[in-house]
Amino acid sequence: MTRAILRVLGLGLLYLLASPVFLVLGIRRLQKLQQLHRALAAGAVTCPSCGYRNALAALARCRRCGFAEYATRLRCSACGQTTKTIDCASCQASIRVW
Amino acid sequence: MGIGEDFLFRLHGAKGRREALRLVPKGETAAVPEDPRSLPAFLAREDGSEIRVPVGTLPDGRPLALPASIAWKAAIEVGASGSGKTRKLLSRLKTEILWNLGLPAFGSPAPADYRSDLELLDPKTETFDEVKKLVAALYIESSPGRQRQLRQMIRVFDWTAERVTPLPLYHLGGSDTSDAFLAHQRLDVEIAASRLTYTDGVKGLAFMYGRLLAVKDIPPNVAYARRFFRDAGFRTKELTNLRSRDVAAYFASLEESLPRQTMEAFLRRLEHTLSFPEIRASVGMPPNAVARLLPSQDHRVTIGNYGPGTRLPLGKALERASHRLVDLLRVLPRRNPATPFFLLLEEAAVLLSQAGELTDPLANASRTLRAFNVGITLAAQDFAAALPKPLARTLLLNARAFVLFQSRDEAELVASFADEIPGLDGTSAQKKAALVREIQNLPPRHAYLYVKGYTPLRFVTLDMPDPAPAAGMTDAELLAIFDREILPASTVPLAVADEEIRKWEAETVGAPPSAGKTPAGPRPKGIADLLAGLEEDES
Repeated sequence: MTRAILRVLGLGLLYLLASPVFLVLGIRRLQKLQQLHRALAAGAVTCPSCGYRNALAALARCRRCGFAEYATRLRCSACGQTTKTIDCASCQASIRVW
Repeated sequence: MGIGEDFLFRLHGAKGRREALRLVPKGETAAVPEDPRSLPAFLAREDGSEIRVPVGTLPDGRPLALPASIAWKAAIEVGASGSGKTRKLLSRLKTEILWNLGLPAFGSPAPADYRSDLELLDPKTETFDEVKKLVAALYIESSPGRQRQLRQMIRVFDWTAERVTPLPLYHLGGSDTSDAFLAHQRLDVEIAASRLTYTDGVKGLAFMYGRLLAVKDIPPNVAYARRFFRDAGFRTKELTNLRSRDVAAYFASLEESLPRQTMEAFLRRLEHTLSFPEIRASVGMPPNAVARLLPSQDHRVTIGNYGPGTRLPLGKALERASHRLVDLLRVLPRRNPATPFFLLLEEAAVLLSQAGELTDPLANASRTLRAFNVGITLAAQDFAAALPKPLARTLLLNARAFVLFQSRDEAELVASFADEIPGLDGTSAQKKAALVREIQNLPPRHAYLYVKGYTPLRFVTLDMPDPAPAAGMTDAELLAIFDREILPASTVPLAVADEEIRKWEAETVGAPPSAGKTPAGPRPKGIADLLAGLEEDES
């Protein structure tokens, strides 16, 4: 009985100590999701190198399964593969979207 | 991917698709997406390519022409007798002949500076005769300059009572083939074609003798062989300064190592082969006489008659074809790949099912010769059942295209595409059965073209009318024109060949040894030796 109480207390202590880390990770994740939401809502991302505005919607071919569709370039609806970067259509530099 | 991303993609998915579709030009949004396996769509894309080999017409009447990426590759044409295989081969031959002359063929102009090489091996004579008539009809309507071109362009392999094509079996001709390789291939072909038994002793002797002929660059000759084996002095003289030391060593100790009966058995086989006057004249001419009588020319189209007739039995006729195929497989890997080479094997199943020794070389060739721009076309009645399974499988795997005329077993090849072929109703199984039935009952000249990676396509082969009525002559007259005008450029009169052989014999063999000096071979050293000798003698 005592051992079980000690285990629960120990686990609680660990979560308490780790909570700042989870908090930081959670905030970063929310920031990333917000970036993704903004990009998808805007339908385009601006290249930080040349300033060209790259449309996210296009005839996209999945790099993994080869499926081609008129949709966002960030996710394949056939295999679920997602990508975080696209190549700028103007300067060919990679752009991190989220 | 996490739940959050998934939610966001779902949230904005429809908007993304809308925006993407807005990018598509209006005219194209309504278009049906192109089927990547549609052969007509592929051919339409390739429409601008320089080489468009005419093949036939589509059901809607449009001409069907194939680009080099299909037409120049290995192909298999299967169909029952009378279904149109031969006519299709003839249309291909006619196209190549006309294009090499710079003339249009079936409405397709010759590509600029066109050059190709083609060889037909026909083990049934029928196609060979059709080509002869075709060429003769073309010849009589040509200008003198073009007639000269035709005479130079066409080479013939034939063996008749009047003329023969020289076939120097053991002439290495500066190639990098070793004497052992050549002797091995020739012996394999001979054994496969012969009805006689070849014991291990005779095989060993025949192989070494073949090497000797290759090293010395001399033709097979009975008088030479008799004197070589029976006259030790002559043999010693012939072995002096021989390039191959092991061949010289083998024959130097012949009398000690080989029973006389083995030599006699070998001589009997040689005599049997060279008993046929056409074969003796063809293979027996010394290489320098061949070079003198038939100077090398720019042959582009070679037609070979390997059919049995009243002059040669089937086995001997097919043996000629096998020897020729061996020569081709030897030289093709060394040719310039800039010029395409088309090897057409008519009745391939007949030829290959009786030439087991060619299975490996041909299977290997079908895998490797693509790199040398060589396209092998095999025409057969019953391809899968008539050939050894490994060979049939290798050839099927390496073929780029199949042309299925009316046929039974091979119909299954395209049955799996039944769902994609328009005009068939019912379930998948019913469509397959209907397609198989359709192929089994195709009318003459109708065929399915199946190019790997594309849906099979039904078409009608090109019309190849009999050239004789068009030329206002009989078949016999056209054949006579061919024999008179084209044949002499690549054949030698039998009498001339015999005279050349006689001269060579007189110079090389000289007078036969006196009867008393015939070596008796090693004496039997016991009952086992004696029995071994008797066994050789029996064979």
